[in-house]
This record gives sequence, C-alpha cells and structure tokens, in this order.
Amino acid sequence: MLVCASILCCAIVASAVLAPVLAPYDPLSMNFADRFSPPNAKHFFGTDSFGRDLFSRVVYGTRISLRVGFFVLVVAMTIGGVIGTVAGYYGGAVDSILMRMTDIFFAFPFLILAMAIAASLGPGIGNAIIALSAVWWTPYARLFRGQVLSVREQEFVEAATAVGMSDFRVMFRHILPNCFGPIFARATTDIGYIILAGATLGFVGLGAQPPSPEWGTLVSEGRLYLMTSWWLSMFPGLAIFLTVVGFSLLGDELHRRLMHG
Amino acid sequence: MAQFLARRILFLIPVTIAVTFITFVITRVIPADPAQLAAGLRAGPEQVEQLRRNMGLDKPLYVQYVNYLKGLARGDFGASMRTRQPVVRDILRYFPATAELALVTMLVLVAIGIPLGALTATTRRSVDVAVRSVSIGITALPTFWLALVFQFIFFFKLRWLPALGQISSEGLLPAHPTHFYILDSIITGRFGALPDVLLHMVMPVSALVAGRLAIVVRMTRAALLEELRQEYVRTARAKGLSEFRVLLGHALRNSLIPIVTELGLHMGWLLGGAVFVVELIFSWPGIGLYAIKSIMALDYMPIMGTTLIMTVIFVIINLLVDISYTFLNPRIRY
Repeated sequence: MLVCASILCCAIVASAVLAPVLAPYDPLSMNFADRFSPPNAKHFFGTDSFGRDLFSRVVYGTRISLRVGFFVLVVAMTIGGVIGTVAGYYGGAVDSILMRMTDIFFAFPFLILAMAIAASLGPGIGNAIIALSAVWWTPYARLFRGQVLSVREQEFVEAATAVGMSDFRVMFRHILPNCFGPIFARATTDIGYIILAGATLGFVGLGAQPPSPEWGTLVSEGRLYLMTSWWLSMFPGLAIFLTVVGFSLLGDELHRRLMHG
Repeated sequence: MAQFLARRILFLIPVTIAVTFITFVITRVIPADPAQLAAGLRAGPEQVEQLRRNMGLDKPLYVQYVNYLKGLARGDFGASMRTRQPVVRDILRYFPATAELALVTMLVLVAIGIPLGALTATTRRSVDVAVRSVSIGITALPTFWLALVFQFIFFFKLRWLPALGQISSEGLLPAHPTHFYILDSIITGRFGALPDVLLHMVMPVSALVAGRLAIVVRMTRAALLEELRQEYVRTARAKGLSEFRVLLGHALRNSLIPIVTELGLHMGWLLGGAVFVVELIFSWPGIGLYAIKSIMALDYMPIMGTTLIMTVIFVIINLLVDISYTFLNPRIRY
C-alpha cells in the first residue's frame, strides 16, 4: 500500500518536474489542422478546440496543481501552526481568544468563503492560493494546539524553562519539532484535497485562467464540447482523481505507521 | 445542560456578526468598482458618480457597514444587479431546490452508507477491505468531474436520464405550494410528474452521494465495531439471540449516535460547496447556481447574502448536531 501510494505520488511530482521532457508538444501551441482529434498515437489524450495537445497540457498542469497544493499547505500550516502553538502554550485567556477566532473561521463553509474571496480579489491562481489559505488554516490551528498541549507537560519542557529559555525558544525549538508526526500525515493527505479544491475553483472560473492548463480549468473548457469531444474533460479529471488518491493513500499510510510505530 | 445550550446559542451572535463583517470586507476589498460595473460600459462619468451616490458607496466604509447591518436587521439584503430582484426574494425562491437536493442526498447516504458500513464491520476481511477501498476511491473523485461523467454516460450516450433541470418542460407543475418538487407533485395530485422529478434527481444526487459515501461507511464501521466490543453484546449472544438480532436490535442502534451527529457535518459539506458545482453542471435552479452566477457577474449583494445565509445555516446545523448528541446519549452531560 505504502509502496503503491509512494510510487504514484513520485510519478506525479516527477511529471511536474520533468514536464518539458515528458510533454511531446508545447502546451500552448495551437494547430488548427488537428483540432478536436480524439486520442491517438500522435496525441495521447487528443487535442482541444485550438488544436493544442491535451497530454502536454495535462502534464504541465501538474506543475500548477502542485504549486497550489504546496503554497496553500505551507501558508496554512504556518498560520495555523503559529496560532495553535501560541494558544496551546500559553493557555488561559490567550487560548480562549485564539480558539474563538478559529471557531469563527471554522463556521464558514469552506468553498463559499474561498469563492467569495477569489471573486472579490479577481480570478487568477495567486488569488486562488490566498483564498484557499484563508480557509485551510483552521484545522491546523486545532491540530497544533492539541499536540502542543500534550507535549507541553513533558519534562524536557520544564527543564528548558528552568534553564531560563525564553518562551519563544521553548515553543519553536523544543515543543514544535516533537509535534510533527500526525500533522505531517495530515498535511500529506491535505495536498490532494487542496489540489481538488483548487481545481474546483478553476472549474468555476476563479482559479487559473485560460490558456493556463490548470486541471479544473481544462475540465471546464472541455465541458462545452462534452458531447463530441469527451476526452477534453475526462483526462484532466482523471489526473485530479489520481493525484487525490495518491496523496490520500500516502497520508493514510503515514498516519497509520506514525501512530502505531 | 441549559447553561451549555445557552452558551452555544449565545455564541451564534458573535459568529454571525463576524460573518457579516468578513463578507462585507471581502466584497469591499475588490479592485473593481461596483458602481462602474453596475452602470455598464457605456455610462459616462457623471452617471457612474450618480450611481455611486445611490448605492451609498461614497460614504466611508464603516458607515457603509453600519447601513448594511441596519438593512440586515430589517430583512433587507439588498438587491441583485443581475436579476433586479431583492436578494431575499431570490434566496427564498431558489432555496427549496437546494434543500430538496441536500435532503434527498442525505437520505440516500444513510440508506446506503449505514448498511454498507454494517456489512464491512461484520464480514470477512477481504470483503471489508474491498468495500472500503472502493469507497475511498469513489470519494477521491472530484465531484464536478463525476457529475460530468454521469451526464456524459447516462444522458449523451445512453439517453437514460435527463441532463438538466429539475423537471422537463412537459411536466411543469402549475401550482407550487411548497416548491419542493417531490412534495408538490404529491400534494397537487399530479403523480405523473413524480417519476419525472425523481429521474431528474438521480444524477445530481448520485454525484453528491459519491463524495461522502466512504466517510459514512467508515464511520458506521468504526462505531459498530466499537459497540460490538461492549459487554452487553456478549450478554445478548449468551442469551441465545441470533447474530442478526444482536446486530440490528442492539449494536446498530447504539452505534447510530455518533453517525447521526456526523450527518450534520455531511450536510455542512453539501451546503458548503458541493451543491454549488453540481447545480452548475445540471443547471439545477438552486442557491448554488444563483451564487455562482452572482460571483461570475461580480454581483455583490447576492454574494454577501448567500454567503451569510449559508454560513448561518451551517452554524445552526452544527449547533443542532451538538445538541442532538446530548439527547441521544443520556450519559453525556455538560
């Protein structure tokens, strides 16, 4: 299981990194003679309304998706991590206030908030990343807080404080590194779901814009021609599916092993 | 217990205020100029200015916010530029369609998910693993993609199911007492419309159910396994009860508590985003489609209104879930 998931994830990352090598055509180059050709030997996934090779576009789309997943994850974990750690460490009033704030953000149905933010900032991948980050940090705040609460009571923390270390050092140099296990597993699973959310925003028109080959945008473009050129929507969707499955399985396996290890 | 309830209900107030504040900020942070958008491309600068004054956009932000809150208190959510209707009227008009979709989805989830979960908890390991893996696979499918696949296969290729909308034009119901089409077709006596309505629901509901099925199965399985470990199950078996009765009459009933409370979260997921894309793909005339069209048209009053309403509903559902938990499990006391 772990092996399969790892191979899948590595393949996805590899296709992003090696996109120029893997893609037989430039994802943006149009060729009107070959428009709407179904999958064949020359164009593995067929071509779209402008004659662009879909396989190349999907491969390059991996870069966009992974970029979105990575950035949103980093920002969400940073914000959530800082808030959760501070709340868990200090406890008391600080904890209450920060957790209330987190609860308020938790109250928002995620996609609505992401859509509203993306709508007001304007379409585009950068704004999609901002929108998703604004929504995705809340579970991490809770996670970090929970972890910090359990690690905080251990003796080495008491020792560090006794030696005279500042709160900041204790928090970030000692407590945090010991919290990472379950959070890391969750983060891995989340990459897949962040990519899915980014694709959903792209599908609705709020993520990457054409001609950018983001998967959600590709599915949306293909929707117009669904009846005649089914491959335009099918293959990008398949890519999303495989990515989510890969990272979910990997995260699941990591979770199981780290918890019972 | 009453104190807990009171605290939770009181919490609704700051949450609602925060929601209005956040949605207000979001829609005012925009780079585009709403007055310009409302006036259109051909309007001259004086008209745009006039419109800006009419919309109250020339006042400082905090005044605008206070005015907005005052409007909300009156039940006035503003008007939509696109439909030229008060937002409240639009929301009331489109909400039943979304609610119907969500409720039927929940019903199907329960009807399929719980038995499947029970099945995986009690059968051989190989069947268990197979069902669980398939469920996880299904949940990984992007909902919007699955919806498109359904549309392609079952409408374009097989012509088994209708592609769009709630009802075909021949079947239009003349009177809509409840706007819930299933109920309406029964109430008004037009039973012929019922199969039509149900057929239209198959694809959207299936796409939505697929998104959460694995989670329901997993929850049921975990809860049931936990119950089956309890002492009273051993007693029941020792009494000579058939395995079936032990399962159905005792273990399953007790394990339903966490599952039922989870249903609230599923509803939240549905209303929070999943229905949006499904409504878009199937042209289902609900809140989701309304919100998406408003977003695409940069029509801010509906965006604020729907965000506000959906969030408040979400909060209330979570609150009900928490409350129901205390009722269902008498041992929990706050």
